[in-house]
Amino acid sequence: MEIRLQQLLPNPLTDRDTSDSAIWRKEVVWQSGQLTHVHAPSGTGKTSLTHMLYGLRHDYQGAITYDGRDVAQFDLRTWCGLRKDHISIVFQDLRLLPNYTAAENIQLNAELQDSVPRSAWESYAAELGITHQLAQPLHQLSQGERQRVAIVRALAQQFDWLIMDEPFSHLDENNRSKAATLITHICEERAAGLVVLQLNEDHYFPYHQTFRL
Amino acid sequence: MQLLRQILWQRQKKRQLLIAGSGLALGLAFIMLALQLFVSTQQTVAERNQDSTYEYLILNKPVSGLNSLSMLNKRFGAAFKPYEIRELAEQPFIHDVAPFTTNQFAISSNLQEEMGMYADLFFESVPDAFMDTLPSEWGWSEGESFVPVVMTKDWLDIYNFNVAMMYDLPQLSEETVKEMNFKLRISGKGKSKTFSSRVVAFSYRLPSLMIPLSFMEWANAQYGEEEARTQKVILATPDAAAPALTAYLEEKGYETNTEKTGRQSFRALAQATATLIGIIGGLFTLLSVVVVTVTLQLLISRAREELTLMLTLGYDPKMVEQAMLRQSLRLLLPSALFGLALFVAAAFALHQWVGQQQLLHGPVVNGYAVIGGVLVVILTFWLARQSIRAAIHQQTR
Repeated sequence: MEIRLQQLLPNPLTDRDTSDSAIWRKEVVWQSGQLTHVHAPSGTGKTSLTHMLYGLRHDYQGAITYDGRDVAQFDLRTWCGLRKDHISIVFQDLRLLPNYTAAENIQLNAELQDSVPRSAWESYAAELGITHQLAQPLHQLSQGERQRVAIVRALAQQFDWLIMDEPFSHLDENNRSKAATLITHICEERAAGLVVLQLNEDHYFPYHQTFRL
Repeated sequence: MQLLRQILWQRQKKRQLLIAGSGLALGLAFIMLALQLFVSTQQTVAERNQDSTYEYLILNKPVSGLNSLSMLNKRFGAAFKPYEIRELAEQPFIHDVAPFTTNQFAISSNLQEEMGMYADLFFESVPDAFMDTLPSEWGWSEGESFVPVVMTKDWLDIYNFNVAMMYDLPQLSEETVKEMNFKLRISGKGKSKTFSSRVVAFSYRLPSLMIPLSFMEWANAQYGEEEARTQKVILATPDAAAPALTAYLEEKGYETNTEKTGRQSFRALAQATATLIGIIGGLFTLLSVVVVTVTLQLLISRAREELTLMLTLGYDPKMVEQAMLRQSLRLLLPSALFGLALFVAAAFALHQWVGQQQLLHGPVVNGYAVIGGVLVVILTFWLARQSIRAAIHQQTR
């Protein structure tokens, strides 16, 4: 699935000088299977872009197309279909349910598509070192552990694109490296594309391209 | 999809659910009980209005010093004019009205020979519909030689408790009086005729000696010296205590034979009770619907985080809606059944308690109450569905 951004600009940034940006008000094409890094200093609209790509924000100029289809035409059901089968996500604010266990949080996504077996996502959790946290209610976990739960949840479904907004902010070097390896491996295995949006430069993924927001 | 099924309120605190469910059940039970009470009170009032029929009043115009002295009294005195009777009949609080017809011929009996009593008798007649007793011998048609008489019970009482005591005469039972045969001799227009007669029943409603109207009319036509004048009328009213009736009688200056007017009657009391129950029931119903709706709204809003997340993860809105609706039913149906059980128990208890005093008629569990309960459950379910849909649609844009 090809993602194309055409003269895209979120409404809150209309007064801003975006000439430095490689994305805002530009033509951008992301081919499937590509690993893309979006380097986004504070205030450049990183989370806005994430939400626009995922259909949670609609206040923008220009257009986003998936395989040539303008997402502005999508209704909630179409978006839900896309999220179920084609796009997976790690939110900066994680969006996990605090009263459910880590396993249940992951299960909630895994059950929907039912294509990644429990044994598979349990092995992802093991690689990220949160096996023992799976049975615990989420509100008892540390921020770093939660971040890894969110990553496993995103991997517990098939996807064409994985979008991650600041996924490693609470992880140490070691865990970042482990997570990046796992994610890269899975994306290659599934021939899926990856978009990582981060404040800082990043050397954990073998990116095909980097854009400054 | 196991998780989806329990997402709505399986995860809510048990106590919260218990309170919500109890609120629902109690609300429903109250609604049904209020309906039950309201309908059966209404039915009771309606039945009493129907089968204990009407209350009867006898009206006359007051005899004043002026018209007792007037030379014209005999013709124009305290008689009811036809238009006045028509006007009475037209009043909404009066069911029916009829004049007392009196004999315009001389009438005497041989009763004095057996009883040592003599009376130049006078009789009255009203249509059968106004009689409180209609024995099988009642009625007369031309050619018959027997004329039945209905006597006021008051006279027998006066005889037994005053006259007999005073003059040391034997007391008479109703049965004894009914066995006395006597002759009635009527005369007028220069001719006369004798009939056999007997008291066939006693009346608690009518104040004198009554003979069938058919006989009275025939005899008045044959022997009557003057045209019949209406001195008294009898009227049937659903509620003798109705203020409108009292006011009307006062305005017209009619006198009545009873103290029934102007007091609180059972009927007025029952009507007031039914209305009060209706109002209280209505308030309870309103309160219950509010409680039920607010409870559901609360539960749904508490599940909003899960709802939002599921839509974000890609759950189909229709699927989520259906799952939440199923969850609503899982709370609503047991609560409704519990509410129904509560209601039935309360209705039985009420029936036991009130039924013994014959205050309420109708079945223990009223069809209207059950239908009302079902409607409220449907309404609640519909409200739940609206809330769920609203919550989902908030996510669209």
